[in-house]
Amino acid sequence: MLILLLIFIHNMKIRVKISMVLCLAILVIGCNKNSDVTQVVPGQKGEIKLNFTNMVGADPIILNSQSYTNFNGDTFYVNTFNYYISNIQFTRMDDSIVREENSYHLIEADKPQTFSFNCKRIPFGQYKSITFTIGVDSLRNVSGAQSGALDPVHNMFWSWSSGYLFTKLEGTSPQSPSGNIAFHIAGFSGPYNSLKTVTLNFPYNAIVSNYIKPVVKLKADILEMFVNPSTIKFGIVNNVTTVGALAKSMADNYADMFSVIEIEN
Amino acid sequence: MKTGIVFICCLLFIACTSNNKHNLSIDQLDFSYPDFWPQPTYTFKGNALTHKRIALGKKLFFDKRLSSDSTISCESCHHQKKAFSDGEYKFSFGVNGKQSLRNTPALFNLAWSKTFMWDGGVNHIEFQPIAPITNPLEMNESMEHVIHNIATSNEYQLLFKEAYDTDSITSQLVLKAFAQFLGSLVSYDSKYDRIMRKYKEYSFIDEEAKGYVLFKKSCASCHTEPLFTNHAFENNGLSLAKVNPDYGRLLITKLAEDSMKFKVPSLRNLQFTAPYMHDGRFRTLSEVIDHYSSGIVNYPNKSHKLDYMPKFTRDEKQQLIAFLQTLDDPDFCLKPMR
Repeated sequence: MLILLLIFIHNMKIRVKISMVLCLAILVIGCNKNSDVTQVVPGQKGEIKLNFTNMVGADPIILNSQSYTNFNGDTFYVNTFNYYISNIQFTRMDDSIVREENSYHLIEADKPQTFSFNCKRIPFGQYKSITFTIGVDSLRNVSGAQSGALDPVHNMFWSWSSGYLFTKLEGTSPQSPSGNIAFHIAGFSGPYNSLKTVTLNFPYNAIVSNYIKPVVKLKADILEMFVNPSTIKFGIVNNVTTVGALAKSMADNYADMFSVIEIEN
Repeated sequence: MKTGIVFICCLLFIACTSNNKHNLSIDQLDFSYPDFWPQPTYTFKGNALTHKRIALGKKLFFDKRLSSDSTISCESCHHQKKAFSDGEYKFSFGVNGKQSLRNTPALFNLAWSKTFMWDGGVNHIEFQPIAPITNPLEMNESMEHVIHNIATSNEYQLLFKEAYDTDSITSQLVLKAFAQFLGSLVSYDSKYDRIMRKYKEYSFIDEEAKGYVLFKKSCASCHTEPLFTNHAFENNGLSLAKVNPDYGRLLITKLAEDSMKFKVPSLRNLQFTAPYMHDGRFRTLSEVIDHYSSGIVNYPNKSHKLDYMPKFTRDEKQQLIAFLQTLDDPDFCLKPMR
């Protein structure tokens, strides 16, 4: 018993010594800006690049000048197509999850520079799927003036009924009595909550390492907004610009509009 | 040697930051309100209240360049002498002579509001200015253009530098500066407040005291003391207008139960804020009390708090009005702002 206790105390001393050495080491590493980052193995972080391609069925979207036909047979042109991708998380092989910090991204079809962005501070490792929200979570919708992608200057914010638009599609269609179509989908609370969170499995793992910054190529298919489960006929539904049952049903429709094209490691 | 340089840099850095903090603390002020009031909703967290920031928000409030033809500022419809209501028109005029669809609300004690506008459509004090700026019937501008104009103005660059120590003016900062001014509009110096704060020479006269009793019995469940609103949405039995019928909160929530509900307004400063109701249909307090006495329409979702509304006698009406007048804060409306 006494021996055990002595060993314990001895170990304690060793532990204290070890921790002191560790502290010193951390201090030294912290102070030494020239330390070679590649040598520190645990906790290393890299990036995953996301790239979005906006499609209408099989065709990449061409704004304003290209006519498309939806599953209902309605023809339409697209002038604006914007959407928020937020709260991105990646799932590892062991089902553990890595979240992107401050994860709010606005993709605008008329601004190619918004199609790609890097998710930073992603720990090295292999990832099998991505999860994200289409839209902006309820907390950010009630937290006052925001910046960056959430800056209201992007015209993705309702001034009269505070909250961010999750998706915005505007264009024209001969089937619409007014000639115009406008779908501003929002609603972060209550029975007409239109937030959609999607998980997409990768065809093979995205590998984040010293040497690899993987690119996850995704596509968004506009046609999915108008079908399954609710068929949208532009002759009847052509202007959805408030929260409500219609906005929610269109969000239900577009919940499956994203898919992974490929992973580039 | 290197370590030495790093050490000196650190010292310099610390010196610089503490200097900034020092400057802020001289200018900083406490958000003060009477002890018997509840905690505000907006606490200026991350937007510490300073004199310079309030002054900047005030400048924005008075700036006509925020409207599309530079003819309308916020102040054009929110006059201080009217407790920051319009105080004249049922529906205020925006750019190009266009008229708004609801009566301009008074602006005070906004830091306690959980929602803004008659229908509660705006959920944060920092979001509020976007609504009138972008409304085609009011200032008819885009946030992008307004922020561009402010950010490229030498005058504002200097003021934002002084107030927020930044060279980059974003909508976020403009909205925070607005919130400084709007949030600091606190009206708490009415006769009622002085009595509640136990000022020696203040007490209700007989008529006011009787009115206070009537008020507590029939009005206080919605117009809750001390802010004289419960911040809730109620259908108070106002008949639906035949021209431009207004369904109020329904337009925001799309819920049938919210039909014709509007936010319960504060009863402070009523002397300055006529006409009354969301559409300004009543010109006098007497008309307002007559509505509650005998004009309530029994809509299915009419507030149950109105089920046992008494028919006020002429004397009782006078007593109620006498009490309501003790909620007026002339200094708030008439004293020059800093």
